[in-house]
Amino acid sequence: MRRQNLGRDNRPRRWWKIRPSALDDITTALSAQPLLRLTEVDGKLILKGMFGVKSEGQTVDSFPVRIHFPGNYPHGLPIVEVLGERIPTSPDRHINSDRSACLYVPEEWLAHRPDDRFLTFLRIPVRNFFLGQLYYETHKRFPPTGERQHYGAGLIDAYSDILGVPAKINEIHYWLRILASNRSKGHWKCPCGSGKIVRQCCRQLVFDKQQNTPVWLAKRMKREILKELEHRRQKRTRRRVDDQKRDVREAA
Amino acid sequence: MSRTSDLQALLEAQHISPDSREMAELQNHRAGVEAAIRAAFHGASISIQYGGSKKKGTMIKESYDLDIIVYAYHDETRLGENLSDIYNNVATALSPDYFVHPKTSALRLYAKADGARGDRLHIDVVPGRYVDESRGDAYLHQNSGQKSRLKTNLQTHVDHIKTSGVIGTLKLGKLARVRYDLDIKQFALDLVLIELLKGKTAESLDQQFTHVLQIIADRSTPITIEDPANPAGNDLSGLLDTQVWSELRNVATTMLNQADSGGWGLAFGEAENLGPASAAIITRAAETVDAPTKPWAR
Repeated sequence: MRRQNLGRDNRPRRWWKIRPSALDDITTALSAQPLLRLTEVDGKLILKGMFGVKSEGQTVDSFPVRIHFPGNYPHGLPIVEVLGERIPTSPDRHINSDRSACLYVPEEWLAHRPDDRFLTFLRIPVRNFFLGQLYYETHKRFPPTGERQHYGAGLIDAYSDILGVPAKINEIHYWLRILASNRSKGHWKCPCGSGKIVRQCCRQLVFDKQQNTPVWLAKRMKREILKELEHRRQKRTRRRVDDQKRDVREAA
Repeated sequence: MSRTSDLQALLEAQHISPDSREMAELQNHRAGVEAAIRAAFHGASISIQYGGSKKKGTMIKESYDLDIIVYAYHDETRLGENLSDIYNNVATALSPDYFVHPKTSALRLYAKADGARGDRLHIDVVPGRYVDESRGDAYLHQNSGQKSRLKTNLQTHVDHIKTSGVIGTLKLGKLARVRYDLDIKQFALDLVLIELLKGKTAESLDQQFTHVLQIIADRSTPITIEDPANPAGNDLSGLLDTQVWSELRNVATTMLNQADSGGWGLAFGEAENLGPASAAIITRAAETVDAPTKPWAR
């Protein structure tokens, strides 16, 4: 069982008490966004106010936001909630039903981010997101830098890009089983689908991917892929049950 | 442009004209709410009227909730025997057409989408009962707080705002509250601003707004505010405690600093006045980001 970091009151210790440097990192980043302020609400730290979208040294627009920090910050990623009604709640605008902005497929950001500073988070995915929204307001589409498909399809595409493997869920799942394992074996079936064992097939390829993909990231992706597989299984089951019900009705 | 004309331009952009789309939607919803209530309580003596910012004249585009006040006459029992019944029965009467979310004294209405909560309609229905036949004071049910009922007077509140002579500054306060996501009730913020602007009604918008921000930024403890409709009975200290005041101070300081360095537009998070170049800058910036990230939808 994972040991919890408990405070004197026997409640989980707040992340900014455990890692004051993470809080310093946030306050430093705020100098670039003076209209955001840090407040504590119900034992959680939240950044509130307006996020200014800057370009060529000018603020081109701003959006009211709340940025929530998860209990396991800085390991967990902040969540940006978009306030107001300027951007509608719609998957097409990448706003989830709880008004959180879907900035990216999280693992894609974790795999490619230049560093884990909060300022980098504000300057890259958050700025890109709102720039994309401003672009959308003018051109009725997102910029050519692209967007992911919604839901599972986008997840598969992103993982395929991260791992450099075909965008097929079962193939990605098998790769992640290997990469998430601390000790992979040469006699395991090769993920390329040749039917041979790894030792006699893509040994170097597997080794390279292991070098490029941290185990913690592979484990995280594996967890998400398993959720997606389960979701697809349930969907298939529901469809089968619906078909059976329809057949019974038609027969009657 | 002078600082006052900057503020006036901000207010102009927030103006909701009577023939705007927003107003048309609100009026349609009001008609729907009134019809649903009159049908559910057929023949009952009820007063249905606008309240809130619509009646006070402080509506702005970025925050235009419409309060619909539904008061039963003091001797009317068809809406319910007591305040709690009235509150619940009005909610029940609206629930076939709307998704009703209970707030402290009001019922917030959402559209229904497949039986679940859909879009917010910017409508709050406030059920209550007049205290007596003069139809001035009214009691509202309270879901939370120390008391289960609240004595209030709509007209007194409206008059307090309308005769304050500082409606422009109240609208600016409201805009700042929305944009900075301030955790203070609009009612309390209005009272703070009116209190701080006593004797300042002849001053310009810039002077008034700077004055209130300066006092809030300088003062370490909250000021005392009173409910004009019930000064002795309603304790508002909970609406303006030290935590709320500290947040107000924080924002007031930020706004003053921003206004000093780049004008009121910057303090309110307005886009810099780039004119037609703005679209070109955005397009160029969005198409050439250094590290592209692809938004998703989970």
